[in-house]
Amino acid sequence: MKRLVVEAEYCMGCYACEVACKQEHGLPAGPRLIRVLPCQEKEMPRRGPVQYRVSTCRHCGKAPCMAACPAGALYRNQAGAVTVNREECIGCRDCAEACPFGIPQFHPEDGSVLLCDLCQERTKDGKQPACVQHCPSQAIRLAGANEMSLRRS
Amino acid sequence: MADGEGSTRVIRSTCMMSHSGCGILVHVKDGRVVKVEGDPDHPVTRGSLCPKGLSAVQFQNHPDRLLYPMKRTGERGENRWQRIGWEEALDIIASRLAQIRQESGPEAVAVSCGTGRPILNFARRFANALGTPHHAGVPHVCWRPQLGSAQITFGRPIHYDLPETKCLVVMGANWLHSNSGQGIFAREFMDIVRRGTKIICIDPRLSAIAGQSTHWLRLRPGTDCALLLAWINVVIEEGLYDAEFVAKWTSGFAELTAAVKSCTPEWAEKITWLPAATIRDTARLYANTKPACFSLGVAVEQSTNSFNTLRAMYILVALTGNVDIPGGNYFWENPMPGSRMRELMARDKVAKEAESRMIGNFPLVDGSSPGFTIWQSIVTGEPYPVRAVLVHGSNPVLTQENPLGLVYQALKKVEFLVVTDFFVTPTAQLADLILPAATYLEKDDINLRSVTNRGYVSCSRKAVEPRGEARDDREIFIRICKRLGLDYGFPSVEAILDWLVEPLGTTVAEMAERGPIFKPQVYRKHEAGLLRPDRQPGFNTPSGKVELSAPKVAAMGLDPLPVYHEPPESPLSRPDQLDQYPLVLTTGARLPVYFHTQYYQLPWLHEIAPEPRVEIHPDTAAEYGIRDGEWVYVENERGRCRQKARLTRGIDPRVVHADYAWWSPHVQGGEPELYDAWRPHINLLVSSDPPYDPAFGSTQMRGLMCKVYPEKGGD
Repeated sequence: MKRLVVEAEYCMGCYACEVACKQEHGLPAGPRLIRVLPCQEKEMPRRGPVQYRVSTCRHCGKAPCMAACPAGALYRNQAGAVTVNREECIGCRDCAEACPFGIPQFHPEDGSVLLCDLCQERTKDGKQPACVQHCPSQAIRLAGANEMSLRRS
Repeated sequence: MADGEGSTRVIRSTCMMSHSGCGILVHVKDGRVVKVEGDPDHPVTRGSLCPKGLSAVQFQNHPDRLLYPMKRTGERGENRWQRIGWEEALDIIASRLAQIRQESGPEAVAVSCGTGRPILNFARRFANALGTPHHAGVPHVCWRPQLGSAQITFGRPIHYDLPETKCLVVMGANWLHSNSGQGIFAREFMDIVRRGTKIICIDPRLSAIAGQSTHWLRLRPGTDCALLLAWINVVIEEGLYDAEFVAKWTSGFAELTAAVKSCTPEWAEKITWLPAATIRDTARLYANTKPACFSLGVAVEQSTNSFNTLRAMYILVALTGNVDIPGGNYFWENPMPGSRMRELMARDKVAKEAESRMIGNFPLVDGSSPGFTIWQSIVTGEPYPVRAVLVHGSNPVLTQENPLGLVYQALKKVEFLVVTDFFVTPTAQLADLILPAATYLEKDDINLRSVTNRGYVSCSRKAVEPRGEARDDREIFIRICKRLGLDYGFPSVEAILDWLVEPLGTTVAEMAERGPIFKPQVYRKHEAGLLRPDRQPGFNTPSGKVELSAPKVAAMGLDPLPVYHEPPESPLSRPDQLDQYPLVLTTGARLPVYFHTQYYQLPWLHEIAPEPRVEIHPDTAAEYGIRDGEWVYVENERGRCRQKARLTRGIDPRVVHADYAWWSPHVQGGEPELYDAWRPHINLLVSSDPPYDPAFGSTQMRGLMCKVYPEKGGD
């Protein structure tokens, strides 16, 4: 099982991860599988103020979205990602109801759910996920299940 | 050029969506660019790419790309066009230019450029071939001031060596988001952040760099020079300077010491709003940490005191002995042969008569005119009107000072206006002819800007044929010259590129495949006699030393020693205006998803920054009844604009910051809105009138006075 780990204190708010993800998955404006969220800055920053949060799928061990899907469209892929077979998705959005983090996104045209697949097509070729490779501050990493989270917010 | 899987080709190239020069892999399928991603094998950018570069596919394949030459059918600005062929377009241009040149001399023609990437040098050559001294644009507020001030101080431009530094000072720059180094500097910057390097960020806003810094100096916009003079005062008074370097390699130390005697931190506190203790502490930190380097951005240049500010900065570099050492400020080694670049940009076809009639010839801008001087000549007819303007890669209606009162009036009035661009822009709508430019994915090129940013030269490759009838700007220069019977000096673009890389013993195709070319960096060149034409140790200045005092510039009407001049419009210089305009306005901080006026039509980027925003401290907002996310007006005596309030504690309660270069390509074009150019336009508040910086003609674009109030349903 793997997941993306974000060191938010090094995020410089450039949004490269969002656009890299969009290009990799051919997504239009609207759905965002990884999202940079500016947060309230501190009065005087010290090294490493959290200016941004980065929100993306946790690929939970006991994924509530997967359990909630009545169509059996969600599954765990070989990269360890909880993701979707869009052919099977009926667009009911029960997964979004079940997700405690508000992660599932929906295609503006066919209404099917869109989920991070940890860039399985890239990682099987030995490449990094698109968001990981393109992040100029290397604040996003692909980490194993046993690695401690560095998320602070 | 490598073959990819199936029918997709993958081409190694260099991104030109901004100045940076990041390594990319371009995926092409069936003659169409389908993907542009970072190149993990690039030694500097290491696979990173910013959102602009990652949106190249949407840029390249955009349905609104201008694909054919178009001739105006309605009035100027009506946005009614008729498609014509290239031959007809070139005939029109040649006949109008020939007539104007004959009647009024070649100096009645101006070539106007913006960022000029990558055509700036070629456009200068075009102006030269046309025989006009008027290569106009933004030299006064972008890049030229730092080059010119370094030239006076050191005899050549100087740069910053991030990877090895132990103390980084960043002044008026946010290159984590801006165009000049997002990709290039971000990796190296985050490396030094992770190492715990001391970083002093001088910025009125909590920028991305300020957020990563150890010391954030939130000064009053426009007062950088006062802070630097106080630093010099501390460094000298407390004996923190590098005595050996100062004695051996600088001139004018005694005069400088006398000049900054009164510039104490307590003096600067009243001007900059920074506590004297903070000024003292950070001066000590910078002077006591070696190596230390200084980095700057255009905010420092967009001031009527830009020469003195930059001089003060470079003087600090010299006083602390951080000159041309690893981790300090250094003179980059240019892998491109300088002689060929000089030859490319030669100014040998402008007659003495035309040269003497050059408009906007400020002493240190090196032969380019600030755009406003050309617009003034058209509007006022003084000293004589420029009659034809050829705009390449520029959108002055959105970027320059006094856009409605000056730029727009000039573009409407000028006899003949041709705009070459990728899209129909607010500026292009005012033209007689618009010509479709080829994108960087449609032509071979050499990225010359990465040389000045990071010391390497790299190539970008033609990945696909130009869409429609789009053409390389440089091909347009050559063809116009040919029609006029003038000599551009090269028969084709290929011939220029081959000639430029020839001394490197390579070709554009081979260079692109090989990746960037560096020249091994040699430090302390002044000791080895590598800076002067006579090969003697020292610097290429009149004294042969770093000129702390530069007596020669007095003849140009400049200050030989840096002096602080209060901005012409500020709470201190115009207290009479304080009642009406109580807030200090700064503008133009770069957004990571746009490049000046570019990319507002790309869906991936526009959804990230859908609206222009003005940053206001919550206490100030409460005072004026402004809520977060509400539309507000920013106004001064010259005009007003409408942006959305963003409340943030990352700005001084006395200061607001407004976005710049905003437009809406997806709304209806044509007069009077010109794609909603005016409503959000912060430069309506920026003056094109004197005073200017005497060295460069820089205008005051930062630190103005304003008021802010809610729109309240369409005031």
